[in-house]
Amino acid sequence: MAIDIIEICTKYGDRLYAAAFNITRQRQDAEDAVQEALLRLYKSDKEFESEEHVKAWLIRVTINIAKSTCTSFWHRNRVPYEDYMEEIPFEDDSDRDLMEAVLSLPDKYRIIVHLHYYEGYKTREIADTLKLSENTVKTRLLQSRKLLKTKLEGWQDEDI
Amino acid sequence: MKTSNEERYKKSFDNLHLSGDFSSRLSESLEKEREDKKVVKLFSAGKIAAAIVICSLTCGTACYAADVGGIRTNFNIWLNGSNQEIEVQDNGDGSYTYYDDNGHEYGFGGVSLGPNGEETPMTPEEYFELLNNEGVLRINDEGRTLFYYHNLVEDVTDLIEDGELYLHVEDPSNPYTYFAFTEISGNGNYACSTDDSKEWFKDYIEIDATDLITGDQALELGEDETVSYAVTTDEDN
Repeated sequence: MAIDIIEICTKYGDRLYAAAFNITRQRQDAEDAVQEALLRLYKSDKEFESEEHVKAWLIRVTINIAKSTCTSFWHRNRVPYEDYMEEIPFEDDSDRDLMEAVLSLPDKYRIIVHLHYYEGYKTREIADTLKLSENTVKTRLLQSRKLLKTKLEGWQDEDI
Repeated sequence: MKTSNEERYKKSFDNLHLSGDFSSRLSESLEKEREDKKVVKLFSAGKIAAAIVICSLTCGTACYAADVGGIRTNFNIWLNGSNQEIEVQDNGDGSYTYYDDNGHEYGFGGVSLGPNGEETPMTPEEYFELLNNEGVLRINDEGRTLFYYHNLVEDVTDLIEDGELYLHVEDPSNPYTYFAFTEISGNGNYACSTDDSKEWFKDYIEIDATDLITGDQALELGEDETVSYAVTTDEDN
């Protein structure tokens, strides 16, 4: 299928950015990850079956790039995410509280939470995307929920 | 009515947006990519059966060719881990055929894509210069995937993950030895990009290069030796 990178960016850019930001907690690093992922898509000869396939590929690649960014010197020396969050025009304080609670979770929990709640991925899909076992994903998701429940008012109990 | 955790999460994270100028920066990067990158696509047949995407033709290695009546036909190349003299047959349709020492047939052909998309037929000299500086994957008769670089041969079958393989060979004579193989399929097709540094988000597997015959060493062996790097000269013939 023919791919228009700018169109893909318009359509999925923000959600890729949300996934990258969840990992890097840095605006610039997250944008760099999204741009790199889109450039990789442009350079790739990969045959995609559908737009959904493109989206899933982009999410996986963006996550991998963002994770690598976190180990770099530059990442460690960027401004704290709390400063950036001051600039975000949240409609409700509860939205800000939720994002802060999620971003305060340990690194290994955050992206699992994001893929589950934002992208609607099942544990199997998260496991495939992150190259983890399904049991690991379930355990981390369970722990994340417990932590979120302690941090957030009204966070509901759920079954896995 | 209670808002679900999913709805709360989405509402919060929907507040994240790319910068207003992100699209224009992306467009600039894409444009730069189109202009800067000289992409060569080779279409191959026979045992090679690989679609190789290579970023640059200028790998900085000497390449000599025998000019026999204007048609260059004899080449010394690294093939399956050994240096072999082969004769290339021009099929007249932009494709070429040659055979290794065991009589296996190989084919190649391709175009070089310029900055504005113009296509130039690839010559055998260009092809073999690329090939001699490339890490190559081939599937052997037992179905194993082997990595070849000059005289090095490594079984990499079990190192391939999700159709991808990232290898590095320490070759003092050639900096372009970071090989990113992607879209590796069971029938021997793959895409390869070569660079002088690793893609920063990938872990490269180091190939043992203790016994590597480098381009420089091979050239130093001289005209009378059986091993000569790249393509043979008039004098060699």
